Amino acid sequence: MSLPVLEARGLTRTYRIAQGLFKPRVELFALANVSFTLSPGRTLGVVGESGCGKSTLARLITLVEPPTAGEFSLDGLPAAGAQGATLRQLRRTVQMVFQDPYGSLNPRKKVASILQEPLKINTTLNPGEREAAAREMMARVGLRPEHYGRYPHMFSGGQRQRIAVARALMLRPKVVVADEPLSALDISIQAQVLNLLMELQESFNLAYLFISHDLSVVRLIADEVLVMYLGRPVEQGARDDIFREPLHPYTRALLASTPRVDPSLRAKPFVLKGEPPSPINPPSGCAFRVRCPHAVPTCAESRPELADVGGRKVACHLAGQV
Amino acid sequence: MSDAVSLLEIDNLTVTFAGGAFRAVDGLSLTVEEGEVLGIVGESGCGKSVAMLATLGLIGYPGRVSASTLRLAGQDLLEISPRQRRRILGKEVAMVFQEPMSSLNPCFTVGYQIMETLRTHEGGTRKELRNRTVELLQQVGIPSPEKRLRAFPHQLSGGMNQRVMIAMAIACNPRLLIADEPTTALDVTIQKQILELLLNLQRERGMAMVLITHNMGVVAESAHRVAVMYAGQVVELQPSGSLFNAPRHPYTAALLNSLPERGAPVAALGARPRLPSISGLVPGQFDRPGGCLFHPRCVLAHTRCTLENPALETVDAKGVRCHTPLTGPLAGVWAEATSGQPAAVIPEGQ
Repeated sequence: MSLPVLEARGLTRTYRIAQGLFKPRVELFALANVSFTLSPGRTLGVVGESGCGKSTLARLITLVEPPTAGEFSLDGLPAAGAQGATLRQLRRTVQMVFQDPYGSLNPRKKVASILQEPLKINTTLNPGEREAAAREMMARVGLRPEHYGRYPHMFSGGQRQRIAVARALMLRPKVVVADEPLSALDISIQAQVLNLLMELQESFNLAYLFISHDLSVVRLIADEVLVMYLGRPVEQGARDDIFREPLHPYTRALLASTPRVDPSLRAKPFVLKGEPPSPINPPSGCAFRVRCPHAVPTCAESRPELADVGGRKVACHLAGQV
Repeated sequence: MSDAVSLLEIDNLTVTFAGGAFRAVDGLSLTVEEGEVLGIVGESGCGKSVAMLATLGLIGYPGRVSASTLRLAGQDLLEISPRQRRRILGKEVAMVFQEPMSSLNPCFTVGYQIMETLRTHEGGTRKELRNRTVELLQQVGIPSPEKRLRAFPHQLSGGMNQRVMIAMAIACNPRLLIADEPTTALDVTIQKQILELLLNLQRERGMAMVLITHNMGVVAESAHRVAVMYAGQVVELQPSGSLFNAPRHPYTAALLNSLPERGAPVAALGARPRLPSISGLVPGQFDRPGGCLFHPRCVLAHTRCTLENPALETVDAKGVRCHTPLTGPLAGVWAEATSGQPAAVIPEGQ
């Protein structure tokens, strides 16, 4: 295996939230203590419900905002707190594909200028070279040459997502962060875009940070899986281990809640009670304990840290026992 | 088809927009029996929501609705006056919409909005209405309902708002509940809760339910019968069990094959399989093909498909709109598809 292109250690992001005029501000942990490594050609699937910190993680990795604690490196260069020329250099190595292709493409720009924009800002290529690069990338993502001069509204959702993917790849990044890239698309189109992402990963040797709430998709594309709950990783490990035998009760609940077509694939019916608690005032100890069917008094007293259990990392006091 | 009168009968329903140029729903015929869960699946733009809205008379200008029969519990919905229709909507038949955040009125408390339905249809004193509303909130699993009566939609989570929508829909004990993508905007664990809630209410009250969704897993887990729609037409109608094991329409088969769920077992072998995807796009207003609407994307299409649109033929309560419907179990289809072939299947009589 080659050197990791993305290494994160203890990434944390907190926000200070105003509660009201005369109340003190509180610290909100949007993301706490996330560590992982990602090698070229590999995919890390990040799974969790809304508000679990998935998108905050994407914002940190794409250098949109700096982490409050922890560090990470992109392509061997320390990225946390990078500034100036280093930051500009790093931004080229990581690009993002957003969830909603209807909102992430500028409706006033033609495909041509959407694709050339990253080159204009980051490279010294002349217009002819830029056009050649844009046209080549269009062919790679399955867009026809005549699409070059069209506006985004002239395309279907699947084609727009292809444009978004092409734009992300224009600078030949090493890491692509995809934040729910399929959830705005129809089923038959999802399969097309998923296939495209896998093909591009192989031909450009890309590392994907693939954020999704759809476990079936993650199971298909990811090599490793990171399950998060309320900003903290609860289970992290190789895809096959986690899907074969999920050890954290939350991972199990997620798997059991995913609707399945094949009766044989359905897990034991298990409906999780309640909703995720507010991150402003999280429960003491393990954040999941209020919804957990196995919670014991210890769970309220101390927060379980990630520990090696059964070949992966699990943050649960009862991991391997229930 | 039973001899008894169905709860909802739709025959030859057509909805057109743009002066007849665009057929959103094209000759749709469906029945819903008392106490059954009918799933309607299809991709966006296939007309599944529009069909149900048209049934309830909720399609306004410039849409045009026509049908041979449109009957709810013996009442002809084509003939009735707007006043009579308002008496039925919310009472005999109720609807739960996709986005709870935008379908509730942000200016009124949720308690007020539920009471409004009750007041319109059943009446009663303030106290009675209030008690009934608290009871409803309890039934849909909202904790401390007395307090929640005074909450505004923005103070509740998406899941809680959807529960409020459901409380509003079941307030007058409807005989038919139409749920239009009730779980799409929600997180998986909440999605499961809402689905369980809907199914429990359906069983307890013996309501009929029409579940409109694009999620194959959701229908497979809850519906008794499933109608698959494509470009405004029902292409397949089958009991849920046999539909997912042995789809007869190539579109259904291809759709099921392209589910990531079905690709996962192969992925576990270490390979990076490609999902067998359906090439091309759903036809729109200007590129509606002649003949079978699916033929440009169908791997089995032959000359007849390009000329003649097949009728929905029903045998043993299983309907399929195809000249050469598939036979044989899906397992075989999938095995072939993974061996690098397109989703090839064995057509009947060839």
